[in-house]
Amino acid sequence: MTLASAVNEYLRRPGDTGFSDAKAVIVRALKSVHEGGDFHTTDYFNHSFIPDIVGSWPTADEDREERLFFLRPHHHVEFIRGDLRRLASLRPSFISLSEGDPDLQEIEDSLDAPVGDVAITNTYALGVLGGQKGRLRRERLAAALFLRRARGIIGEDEAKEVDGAAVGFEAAMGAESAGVVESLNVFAKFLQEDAAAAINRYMYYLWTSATAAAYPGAIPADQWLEREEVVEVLRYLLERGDLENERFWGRLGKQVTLDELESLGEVGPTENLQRLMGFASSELRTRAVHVDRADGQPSLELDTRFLWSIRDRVLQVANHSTVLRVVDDLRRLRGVSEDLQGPTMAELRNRISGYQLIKVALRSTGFEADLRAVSETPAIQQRDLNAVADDIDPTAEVIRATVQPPTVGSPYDCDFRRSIVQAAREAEADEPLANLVLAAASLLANVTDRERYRLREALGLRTVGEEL
Amino acid sequence: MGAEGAHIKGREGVFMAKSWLESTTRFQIHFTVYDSEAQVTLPLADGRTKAFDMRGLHIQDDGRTNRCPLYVEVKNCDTEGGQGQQYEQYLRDCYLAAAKQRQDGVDQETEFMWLTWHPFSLGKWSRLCTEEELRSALTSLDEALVDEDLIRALPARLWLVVLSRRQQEMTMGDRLLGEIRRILTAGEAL
Repeated sequence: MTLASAVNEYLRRPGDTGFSDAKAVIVRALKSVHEGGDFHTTDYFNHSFIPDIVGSWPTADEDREERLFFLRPHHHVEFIRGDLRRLASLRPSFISLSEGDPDLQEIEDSLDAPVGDVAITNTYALGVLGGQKGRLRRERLAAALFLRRARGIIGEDEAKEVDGAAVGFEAAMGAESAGVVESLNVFAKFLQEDAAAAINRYMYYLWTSATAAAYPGAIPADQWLEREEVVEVLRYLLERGDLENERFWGRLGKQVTLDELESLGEVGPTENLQRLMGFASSELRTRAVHVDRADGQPSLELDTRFLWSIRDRVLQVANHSTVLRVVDDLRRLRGVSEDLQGPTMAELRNRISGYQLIKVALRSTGFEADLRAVSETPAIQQRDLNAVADDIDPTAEVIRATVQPPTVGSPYDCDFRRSIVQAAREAEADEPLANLVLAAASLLANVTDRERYRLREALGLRTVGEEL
Repeated sequence: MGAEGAHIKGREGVFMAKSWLESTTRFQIHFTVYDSEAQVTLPLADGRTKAFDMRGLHIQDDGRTNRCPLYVEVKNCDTEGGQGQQYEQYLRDCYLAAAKQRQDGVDQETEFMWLTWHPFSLGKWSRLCTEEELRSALTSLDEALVDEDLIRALPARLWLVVLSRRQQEMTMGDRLLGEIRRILTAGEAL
């Protein structure tokens, strides 16, 4: 059953409920073309000036961009002329629901003037751009932009042309000039000028990440992608087939931010994400890491590979028994236990070899002390602090501790009750993600100094400022 | 004017009528005969069917609680033409459509509108939507189809509208309609 026939089956039902059901079908189709878009329906159907569906999506400046979708049972030249006269300034999209539309080219020929930034399309075009499962990310990226910013008269054939032009992204990564140029031409024809410029920036971003050769398109005046554009490109790169190009991922790893990765929402443990994180983990900055142990075992299972993924907008690295979640803001963590068992003072001392214990809080005694303050030596020396720590009851349960890592950077606060390690509040800068992840695994999951190298390998991390 | 020309003029008339009715904000036109004849066709009590030019809703002032179905006949005429005779047949069809709905137990108090650009039957213009004129249109009707209650009720559900070629200039412009659109698409109550 085609999208058009599904819609018309609802429209043929008596009464007004058929409209809302038909619109729900179209909303699902729009959503399949642009997963990141929000689409809400109005109470109107086929109205002269009130849209049937309002689509919106976030933009770089935290604002939302909108496109109005007007559903039309048919495209008639006389009606389109009126629609254009009244609504063209809104740059809307008119979607014909007809099961047997007249040739859209005939409509184009009958119009007195070009349609400008308006899209006149149909359900068959939507079907091409969103219909098949297992579509490659490059096609979804092109389709999403198309939905938001298409212009002109676009039927099924034109939609296929756009769909096919998405291979230009692959061409850009493969440094194939002809493919890039051909793709840019198609996008320039069917996308509003600023959207075509954005595609050119994507291409330029991919091309320059792949090669130092001269870019075959017009070098964009603004070479930087907007945040949402970066997110779209990242999603495409991470979900596409394996790309074994160390130089490409290395360059991308230096550019990507934690916020951009989090904005992806959900990304499975793809090989490309592992490649990216291999480089990005030493470049990214963050504030906290939460360690979630499924099995409650005292030590990490290091023989199983840890894989990076993004779940519910949180970057994490996990194996079968342990999940380490990386967050800038602790409020982002959901379902965190609040009263876990902390290590004994003796266990903590085993874990922190290589670190310097500078603050500690015990549960049973209520003892809480800055060891630096109780140290007899004014200078903060590990030997002296260790001597103070030795005086604490080794069986006492530690609920919080602050340690100075052997790396550069600020101390870390460990909250054992919640299994969270975070950069101490006074830290001016966020910590290198790799360092904080490693510290969290060491301090919360009991990885000894000797095992830390294996952990680093298992995580694929390159820590900053630490001699390996 | 040839058949094709008349066809184009008819479509232009339907489009103008639709956009004018909707710009009043009191009507929504969901289908035209050019979209789907089936969607604008009503069964009649005498077994025939009648295809109108448009189908939609007449919306009461609160916008939600009372939305009467509306069927519209559009006459994009520059002269009186044969409107007088056509109107009489139209009245009869409106009655038979309403009677059929009553017979089927689905009387939604459907309203009917004759919308033209040229007046007609000027000698009885003021009576065209009255019970008297309706009875006159039904004189040859099979007695079994006569429903006195419906004959008295139907005139209140009839509309007769004459539009000006400059009608669009008498409605809100795009700026004000844009404000209404902004409110309605945001889901705010008017």
